[in-house]
Amino acid sequence: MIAHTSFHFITHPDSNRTAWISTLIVLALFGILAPTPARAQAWPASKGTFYTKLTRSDIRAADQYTFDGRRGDFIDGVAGNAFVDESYHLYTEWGLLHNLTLVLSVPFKQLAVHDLAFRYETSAIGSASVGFRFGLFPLLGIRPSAVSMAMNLGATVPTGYTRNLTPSAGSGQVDAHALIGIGLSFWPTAAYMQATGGYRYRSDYYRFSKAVACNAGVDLFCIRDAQPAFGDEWLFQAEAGLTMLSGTFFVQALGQGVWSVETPTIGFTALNPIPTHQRYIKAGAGLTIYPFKLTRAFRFENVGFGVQAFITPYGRNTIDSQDFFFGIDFHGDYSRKRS
Amino acid sequence: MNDSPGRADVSRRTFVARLGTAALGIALAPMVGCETNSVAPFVEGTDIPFLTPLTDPNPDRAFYVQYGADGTVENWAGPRQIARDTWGLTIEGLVATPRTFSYAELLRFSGEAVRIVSTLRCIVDSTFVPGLIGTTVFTGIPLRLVLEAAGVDAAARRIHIYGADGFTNNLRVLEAMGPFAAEQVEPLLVYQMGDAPLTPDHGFPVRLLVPGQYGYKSVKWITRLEATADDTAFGSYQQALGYTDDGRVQVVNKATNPLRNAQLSAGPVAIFGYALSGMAGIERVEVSIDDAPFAAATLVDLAGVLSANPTLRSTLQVDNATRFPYPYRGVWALWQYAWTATAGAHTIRIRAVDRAGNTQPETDEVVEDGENPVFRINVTVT
Repeated sequence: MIAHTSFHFITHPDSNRTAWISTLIVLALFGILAPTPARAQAWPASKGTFYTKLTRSDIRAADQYTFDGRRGDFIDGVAGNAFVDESYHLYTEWGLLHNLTLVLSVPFKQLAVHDLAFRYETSAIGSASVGFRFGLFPLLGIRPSAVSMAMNLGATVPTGYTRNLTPSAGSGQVDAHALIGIGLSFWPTAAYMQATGGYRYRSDYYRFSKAVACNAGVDLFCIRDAQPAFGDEWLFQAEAGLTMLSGTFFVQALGQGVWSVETPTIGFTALNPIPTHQRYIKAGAGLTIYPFKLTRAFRFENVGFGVQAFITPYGRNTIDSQDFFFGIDFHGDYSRKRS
Repeated sequence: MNDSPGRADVSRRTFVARLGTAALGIALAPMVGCETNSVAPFVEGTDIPFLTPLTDPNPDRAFYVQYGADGTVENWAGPRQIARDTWGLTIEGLVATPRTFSYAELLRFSGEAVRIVSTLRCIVDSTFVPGLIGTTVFTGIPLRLVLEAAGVDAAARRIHIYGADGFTNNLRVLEAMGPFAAEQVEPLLVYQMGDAPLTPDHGFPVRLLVPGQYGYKSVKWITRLEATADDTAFGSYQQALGYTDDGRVQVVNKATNPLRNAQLSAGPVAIFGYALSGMAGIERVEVSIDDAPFAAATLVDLAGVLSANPTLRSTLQVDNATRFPYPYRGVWALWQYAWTATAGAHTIRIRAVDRAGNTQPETDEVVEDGENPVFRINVTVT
């Protein structure tokens, strides 16, 4: 039950951690922006429970981190936010079995970038993420306690978008990830901490996206279909949360990292205009309010309204963005009728 | 049987299902039909002067500044700030007399200094990173002179070039020391740009200038030359980024008006821009509207250029008209074309041809030598 108490609060679709940007061929890179599957998920959902969240992102960047970590203009000479991501993300998870949770997310990307002369906009469904989470302690025969550990396995799959548009809705290839989360509940205090670490394999499989014929150097709406071989990455996340006033307020401290296995040594190449290695750390905080818990309007008591905000204190081959996520979430239990 | 809890559960489930459906609907509604893309201009086309100002209140119109080391040298520390008194140029490797020239020693060659007009184009200048091109006058001492003073060995094939900021490049010995082809201005150790001392951004106190080659060949803050028998590619852009070792500027043109995807009014439209080749002077620029046969644009002639830019009169090329016919190799030529636009969607295609017969390909998949496809503008006329 401790885990269940924490479950609703530790599950959040803080999607769309941004990726990376080149020093010069900047417009070629926006297709890289994709949700990271790194979510600290130490607790599997109970059978029959679900959690769903619809999030609107507001990500803006005027600066970038170069391949060696220096800050610079996102696009030379462009003042203000040259990159804006105002996407929607639908995230949900279901407790399929007692120890098996299905996790799905899909973004509707709305991206805009501009240079000195043009504004480029794209909207499309981005890469969907599909995964499963299962608790490791039950498998190991360890009794439930304040500590939980779960394995998260999943893949990010393009949904048929055009990968060489400027900007594009995703990087265009399939990624797979494996993450282990460890959580600690402070019950009866409604607080928790958790940390997740894992590995993302970035494949060269591009068949779930398409490319438009592009006349390099002539067409503005597209780039050459480079199909780069992205470097694999280590993924990290740390999180702490606390609920107050009978669950009405839920506050979080959040940290997240993506760390390419190989050190980024260059922003881009002529043959491959998209940087293949990135590193960044995001730090942020979140607040979710469940207003109907106070009003005792039971039909709505599990509906929450939240905001999360992040900064990017460190990066290589990434944008230096300020990320906001505004979301509405709700959770429930389909199994109650049978109990 | 427990009716009340059952009804409550059904009601709850119904509510949750409806709420979930609504959320899904809200999320998916904008996705229907789904992928869209647009490119919209939000500035007007621009006329460009033959000589690019080094500074301008509008930075878009000033001579571009590009740091090659910024994207290639680990922990690049920014443009160098080097005093003339402490600057030195070391020449070593396969030379008879390794030596270091101070700034004062370099100026002992000033009797052979030349003042030239030249266009610098960054190899990255392209559809998506435009504006990395400019033309101005440079004053410098032929690189050949300091190499001759050090006595480059006959076994040397290349000169490795080092900037104080870590940026590197190379020239073949023949490119550095000659003999030089007709119309070719030899590489210079430049100390003035726009008839003023170099600014730190442009490589003060001395930079290399290799006319007719992309900007990455013209190393800023040059401090070391190494003659070597190694005859392979060497340099930050070649080794780190994959750009061609042969840095010759391909024949290219760009219309600066109208902008791509522009909305125009029916009637007279001035199409104008520049054309450049590092291999020979521009011979002609041609324009085609909607796949009609190419028609010649008008090149702005030398008299017109000199009238608007009298400071060009004492440059090497203008003073040696026989050796350097206009339009000059490695210097852009301005052109214009009068079009009477009619309502509808139109595609304007523009290509340049140089005196060596080089022209632009319809498509250009080879980006390692710089982009130079036929320039194409889509416009809508109402």
